[in-house]
Amino acid sequence: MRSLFRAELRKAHRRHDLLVILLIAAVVVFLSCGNHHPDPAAGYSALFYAMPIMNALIMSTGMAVLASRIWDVETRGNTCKLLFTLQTRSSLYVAKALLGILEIALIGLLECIAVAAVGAFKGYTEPLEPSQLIWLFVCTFAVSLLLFFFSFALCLYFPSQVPALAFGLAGSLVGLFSGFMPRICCYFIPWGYFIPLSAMETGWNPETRELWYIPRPFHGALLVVAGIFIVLLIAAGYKLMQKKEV
Amino acid sequence: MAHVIETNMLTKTYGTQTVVNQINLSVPEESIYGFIGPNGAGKSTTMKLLLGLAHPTAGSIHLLGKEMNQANRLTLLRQTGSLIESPSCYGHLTARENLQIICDLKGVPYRDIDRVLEIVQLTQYCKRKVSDFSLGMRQRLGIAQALLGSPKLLILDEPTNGLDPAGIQEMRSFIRKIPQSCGAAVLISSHLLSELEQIIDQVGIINQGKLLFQGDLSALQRHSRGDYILRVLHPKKACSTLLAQGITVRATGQLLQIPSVGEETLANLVQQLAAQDAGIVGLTQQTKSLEDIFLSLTSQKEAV
Repeated sequence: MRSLFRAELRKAHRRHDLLVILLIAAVVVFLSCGNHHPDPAAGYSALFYAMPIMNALIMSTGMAVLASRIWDVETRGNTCKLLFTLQTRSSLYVAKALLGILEIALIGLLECIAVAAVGAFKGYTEPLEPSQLIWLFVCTFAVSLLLFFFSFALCLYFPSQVPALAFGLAGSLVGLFSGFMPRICCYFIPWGYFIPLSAMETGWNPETRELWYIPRPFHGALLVVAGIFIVLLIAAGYKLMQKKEV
Repeated sequence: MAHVIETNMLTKTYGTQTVVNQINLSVPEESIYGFIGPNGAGKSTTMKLLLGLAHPTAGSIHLLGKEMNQANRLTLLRQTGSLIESPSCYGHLTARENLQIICDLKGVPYRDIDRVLEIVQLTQYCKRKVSDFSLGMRQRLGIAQALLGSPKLLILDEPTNGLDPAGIQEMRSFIRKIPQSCGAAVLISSHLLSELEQIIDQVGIINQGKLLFQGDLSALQRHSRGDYILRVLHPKKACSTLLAQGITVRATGQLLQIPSVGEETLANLVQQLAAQDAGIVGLTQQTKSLEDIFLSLTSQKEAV
């Protein structure tokens, strides 16, 4: 398996995947900072509130881009018919899934580093809670994984990468709007799971027009649902790879 | 003679359509075996079956002396090189990086890369991105990928597809050298029959999923003798003599075309024509090209 994964890393060489990862994380952080509360005493709370919303906007498209890049390299190179004589279909799927997981973990990590860096740069006085940072990482990672495997399954199902990218773009919009729908609705829209799984929510007093951040109770059940979706999508992708025509 | 490929009643059916019908293919060691058939004859499906890219409906495949099954498929195929239609390579990587990936997957040491680059004459271009390669260079890279690990068998499906005449010539010379330089047998399919005729020593002709002929190219040419052409001074006398012997004649001026007959019958006919004073000036036998043989076999639609 090590040599198969090494082959997968070689394929990623000169494909500028790291740059894409950096770009996705940078856009999320940049948009979150542009949206955040100016009060340094609530700086991290504002970031923990804004970042999941921006993740909902960006990640669906971002994951579609990552998944399609990982599979597109085989489509463009017309390489499946050669690879399937040298390795099992399942090993190719596992190697690609591992690469995707690694890339998503890197995005999550970059977001967490960016939170700490932005806080230090802007001089936030609010203490940074490590548990909220871990929470942000876990939820970003899990939901991004869900979206990645959905896009990857689409890439395998359709001969072109266009449907995956189209679904990614549509998912970005639906995901973002799901955050502003009644709470029950957003549970049915996996593209927007970043928001109900976030660490912070806001309180709002319309009379005083005052906004404040309150920690959101951890939604373990929704994380489990996301996990079930991930398992189902991995299984669907695996099946599609087995049936892939060459 | 040992065989690197042997199939036994190999059959592939899609729905109600039988694409490959009870084929018994035998490819000897260190031979170049031409696999010929019109479009939709079942060539590519047969090759996919041999490479495990499709599962046979019935029959068995012996590769390198072992029956291929799910358990040993990859082990056997790692000792086999293949190039199916267009080459499989990553355009954003260099030729060497592409070969390194195949080394990783085949479990072949990287030092083998220099050897195969030398064979396909790509050594000086090995650091160039494949997206900058011409189609001919990509095909050569595809052959290099197939040659990694010194396989005993190369399976090449239409390797000259899309190449210009110079590229075809180049590819032909590479393939012709493979049995001597690498000790590998080559199974090659192509619709460019005149091209195959110049490099193959064994031939299999497939049509509508059935193998119509298999054997030495020379045996096929002997088997499919052409008509005799007689040039005579008195065609009318000659025609009446031949017709009296039950021979069908096609006359064009002084040239008479008669179907291929045995040597004794021919000698007897010549004697009779001479006796009737037909004035025989010349006698030649048409030699059928592989293309003619192929067309006549596929139009008969019957196994030889």
